[in-house]
Amino acid sequence: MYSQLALIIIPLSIIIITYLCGYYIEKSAVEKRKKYIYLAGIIANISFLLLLKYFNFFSLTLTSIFNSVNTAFFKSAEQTNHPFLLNLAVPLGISYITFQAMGYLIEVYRGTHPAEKNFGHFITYLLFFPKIVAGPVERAHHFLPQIKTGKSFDYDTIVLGLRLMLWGFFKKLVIADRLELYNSSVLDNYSHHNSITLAFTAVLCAIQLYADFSGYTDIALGLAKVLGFDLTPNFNRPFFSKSITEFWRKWHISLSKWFLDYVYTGVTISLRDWGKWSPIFALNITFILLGLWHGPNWTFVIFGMLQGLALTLEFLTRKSRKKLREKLPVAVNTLVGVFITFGYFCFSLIFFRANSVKQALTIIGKIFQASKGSIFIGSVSTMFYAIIGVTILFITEYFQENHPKFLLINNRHRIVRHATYVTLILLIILFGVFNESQFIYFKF
Amino acid sequence: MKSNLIKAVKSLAIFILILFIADRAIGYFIEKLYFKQKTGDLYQTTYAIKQAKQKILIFGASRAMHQYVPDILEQKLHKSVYNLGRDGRNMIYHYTVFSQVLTYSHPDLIIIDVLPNEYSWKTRKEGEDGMISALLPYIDYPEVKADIGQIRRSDIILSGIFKTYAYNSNLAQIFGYNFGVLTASKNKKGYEPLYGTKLTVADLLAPGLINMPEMNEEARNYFKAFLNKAKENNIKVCVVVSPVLPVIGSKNCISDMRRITEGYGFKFYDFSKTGAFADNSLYYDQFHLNDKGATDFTGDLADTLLAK
Repeated sequence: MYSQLALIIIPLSIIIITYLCGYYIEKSAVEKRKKYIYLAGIIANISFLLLLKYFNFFSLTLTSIFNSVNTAFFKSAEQTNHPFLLNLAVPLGISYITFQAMGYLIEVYRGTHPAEKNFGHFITYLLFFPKIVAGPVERAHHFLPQIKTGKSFDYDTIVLGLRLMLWGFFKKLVIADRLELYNSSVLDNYSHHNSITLAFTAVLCAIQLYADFSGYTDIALGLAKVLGFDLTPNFNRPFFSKSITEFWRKWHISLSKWFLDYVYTGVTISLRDWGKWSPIFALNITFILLGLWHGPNWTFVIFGMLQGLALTLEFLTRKSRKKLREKLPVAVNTLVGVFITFGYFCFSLIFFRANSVKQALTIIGKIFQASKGSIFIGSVSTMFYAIIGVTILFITEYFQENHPKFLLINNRHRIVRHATYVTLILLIILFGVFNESQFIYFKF
Repeated sequence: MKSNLIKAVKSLAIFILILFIADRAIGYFIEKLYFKQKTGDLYQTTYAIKQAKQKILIFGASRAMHQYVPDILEQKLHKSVYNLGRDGRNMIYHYTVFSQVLTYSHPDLIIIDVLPNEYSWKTRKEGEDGMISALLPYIDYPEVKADIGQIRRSDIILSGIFKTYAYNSNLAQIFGYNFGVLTASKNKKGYEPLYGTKLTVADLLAPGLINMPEMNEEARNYFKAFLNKAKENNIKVCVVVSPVLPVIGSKNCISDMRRITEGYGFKFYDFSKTGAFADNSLYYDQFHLNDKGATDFTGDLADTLLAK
């Protein structure tokens, strides 16, 4: 009962505190007071997040360090300390709510967006249901003005929204959930599988995550559109990126933009005396935090670190890479760039998907062991349906990327449009996995 | 606004009509192909649903399908036998198929092969989804419809709306077997032999099902319901844990199944601890006997049944 109440009270507290802080930041004429209110709001939001999501992680880590030191220096292994752990209910989408709330406070404090006076509008901004559980991380200046404009039945907008939803359901049910059947069957028994199977699974995990998360985003964006709202797109065909830098401009755009604007820029400016090391340091801090945002696990920290490392390398080698690119044909440049970027992301995703660092390292170790054996296919039909779905996805994205005038779902001829709708629906019905599985990003 | 609404209603009506026609046309075509199959996994389910009139029927998953040789049982017990075991099936499937068999036949004996960890469905994916998908093409059979309806009503609704839904996830097999892309392995009254061995040293060292959770109450209830149905219909049941390499199993699960089985007055045979099947050369993999192992085991089982 108390835990159920907490699921309502906690988000409500965040909303009320943020609303009041925003209101008083704007109202306050004294700069110092403004700053204190702003800091209080930010600290309150971070505190909620730390307490609910990260307290146990830090407690476990500190206790483990303390116990190790105790054993190493004082030889008192028998006096092992147990971590103090909280058993709190975590409201759904807490990371998204707090990040939007903090973004709002920053905008109000910087004066780039006025404080919202209407509490109803403000609560709608933070709890708008299509985006509540897995984003996008919506900015106040983009969303709040939309609440104030009148909404009326608009056929074309509704159709656009429904099309997006249909494509989202296809990605989720036909691709992501189908790939999950294979991926989980391999990863649940990873110690039994050989190098090629594990490497193949790493690639499929990346495609699954993309289909799952971008599928959710399409459904959320489509649903919002049906209701008359435009949400921020979160993906822009990231697997066609030629570098990790480009990749992060196209993957989980709303979150990476949030970190870029509010963390990276802030750190870079405050450390501008460091010269070229300032952006490098800022990049790494930003991506460690972005990794940690996903959850209290060292696997996510390492995932973030790997992104930071790649971005640092790209930053440091940008001139030499440019010279090299000029010597190579465009097609080779593109292919090599896409291949390396995709491969690196798949590799880093092993940490993202693994339950522990140890598991991730074991999988990586097994991949590089180059153990013999043929690839594990599992259920032939599962693989067959997955291949159909993935092929459709990549062909569609290839045309969107390279031949934007070639349209199916948005074709101006009704027959082509309707044929595409019907085909997609029947593909979902025939090849979709209807096991009511959750979206991966719901847990973040 | 009004013209917008009229446009929307008109478009929606046209779209639903096209979708309905396409779905029914494709659905009927797939249905025809589905019931035209003469071999393969799906055909075996159709056989079980429609015409398994033998006196002894064997139920179970892959360990039934690959390990019980009907010819040997027929020779020794002098009764007709059919192996209804299918890969990856669990008690939900067995229960529903058994209910359907009872609408047209009355076997003398049911042999049901159970896993040492029969109750360990890790997720709903393992427990329900595969079974529903296998049974949906038979939704017109009242027993099947009733059982699916008890598990997931949404499937009944969806297959009512979309004719194609009943064939969800089965299309590759339907086309494969109809157009000769897939060929079924040699099938002897439902028994599909496995030849040779693919056991590796790692297989022998690594525990198999050991990571699975102990109990799933739903699986346990289906097991009880199966036995109960047999009892109500005066059909003898013999529950068998077939041989397995000595690394897997849950003592709790086996003893609970034994208790339940004997509670109904049926026989329970545990071959998982029999020393006669400790020889690795009798196994195809960790969980399945090869043809030689299956022949030996079925002979032993027939002798045991005769002795009792």
